Amino acid sequence: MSIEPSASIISSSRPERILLAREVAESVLAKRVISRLPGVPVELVDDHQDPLRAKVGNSGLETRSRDFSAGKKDLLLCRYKGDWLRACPGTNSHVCCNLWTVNPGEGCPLDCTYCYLQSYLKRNPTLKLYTNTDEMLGAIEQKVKAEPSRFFRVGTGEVIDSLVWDDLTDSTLELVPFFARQSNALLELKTKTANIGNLVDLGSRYSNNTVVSWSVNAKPVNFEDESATASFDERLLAMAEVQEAGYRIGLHFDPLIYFSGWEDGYQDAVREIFEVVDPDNVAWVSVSTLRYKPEMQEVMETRFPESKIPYGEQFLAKDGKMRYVQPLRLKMIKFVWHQLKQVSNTLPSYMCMESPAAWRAVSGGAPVAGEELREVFTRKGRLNIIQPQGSEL
Amino acid sequence: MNLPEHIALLSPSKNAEVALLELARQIANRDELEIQEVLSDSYILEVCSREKLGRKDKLKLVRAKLEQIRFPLLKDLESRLERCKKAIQKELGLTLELPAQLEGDTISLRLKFRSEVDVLNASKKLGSLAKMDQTKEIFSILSGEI
Ligand code: SF4
Repeated sequence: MSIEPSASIISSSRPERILLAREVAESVLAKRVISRLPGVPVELVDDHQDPLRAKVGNSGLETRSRDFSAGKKDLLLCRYKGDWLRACPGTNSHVCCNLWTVNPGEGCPLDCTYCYLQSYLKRNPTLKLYTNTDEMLGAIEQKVKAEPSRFFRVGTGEVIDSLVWDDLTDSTLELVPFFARQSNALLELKTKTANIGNLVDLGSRYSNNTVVSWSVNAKPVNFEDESATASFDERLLAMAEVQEAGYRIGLHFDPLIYFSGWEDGYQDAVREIFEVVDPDNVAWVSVSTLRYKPEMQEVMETRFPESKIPYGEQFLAKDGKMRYVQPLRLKMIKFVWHQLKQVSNTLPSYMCMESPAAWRAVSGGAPVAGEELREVFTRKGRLNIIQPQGSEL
Repeated sequence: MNLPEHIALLSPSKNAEVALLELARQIANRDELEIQEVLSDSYILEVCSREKLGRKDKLKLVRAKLEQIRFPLLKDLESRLERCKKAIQKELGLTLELPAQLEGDTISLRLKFRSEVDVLNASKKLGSLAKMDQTKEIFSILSGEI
């Protein structure tokens, strides 16, 4: 394959230092990343473990917050030695959407105030990219081939933004054609960036089994609490380009945040998105409200003293996460759900990590043991799981 | 950070003091005020100066006020639901149980019978309950119609 990355892309996320695990120093990916970060010092390390892990171990909150910030300055290039493909952990007593996840790296340089990685990666805060992506693809292939009658929706955006490093790694140049060859698997790239150069370059030749998803929010939230990400308008431009290049679009209105004027904010967001995105080209839309582990409350306050999010009306819910009280959650989800259904009644919408009660209140019925969700994702005519015709694979 | 004099004079326990200061700190951060300003809200000042109220009752009211400022929507919902429950209790003698922390859409009611007549009476009460505005309001709130 001879696809070159778009020359115009410049990574907005440059680490201050590269930590290079000695055992991967000669890997193609490590060399590529280093060559695209000229001027960033490279330090060889013997261990593939997170260098902050031991230090963070028993530290107090303030140290943890400081270490979490410090972790975002380094990029560790190393091998991944665990299981690549995992079922999304979901959450107790909430309805789950059967997503599989693979993580080509860990940690995100973008630093949204509400980012759950602040608790999820509290002991491993250093940004990481795994260089053994051939093993990752092998593991996915093995899994999906072993169960040909099962459908796999695989996301790479669980503990890393799927595209944030793509101009450094070109990982989509491998992933997207790889998924185009699969007959029972679909790739979801989930991002808050506009780092789409490679996807556009790949174009419609391989786009059949890849959905490019954006997490979207009302503009005030984007401005106040996602300041290092692509702006709302930049994401819209990226959506338009990716759609033009032949990909289907996914949207995640997640997390909905309560603020003064939230209704106008989310109404405008839906309207502006669908001025650009063709509703018939949308693979799925998820809607969910703010949630985070209680320990993140103080981390957010410490790391983002300007943010108002920690002072919303969250409380500790049954699933052990801080959430808005259910009537407020439902009001917000219903509002956005209604806006979406006004755009198109057939938009495949679902709620991420919400209770059966929420499903009843918002959509008028409970999903039956996940069947309804599976139907959303595999609805006839929505998925285009076919072998690419005349592809150069 | 110390409590202002009008609250310190109420001699709150250490735990109560921490809780009051924490509520005030969160409100201050949210509303971009000084903590002392929050704790000197006019209602709080008025409560603290009431002569006929005991120290503990004053502290209870101060805390309730701070909680109401910190969680206005939640407190409003709780008091609306409480009013509905009380009205139903008064009208029909039925005590509804709402889902814990308002998570869920199911309310429950425990009934006991000593005779067929009791059953008949209860069924009549249930019929009336279904028609009460307060019942409708409870279900509306739980389903997010707020
Ligand atoms: S873009 Fe996503 S992963 Fe990155 S900081 Fe924001 S919420 Fe976290």
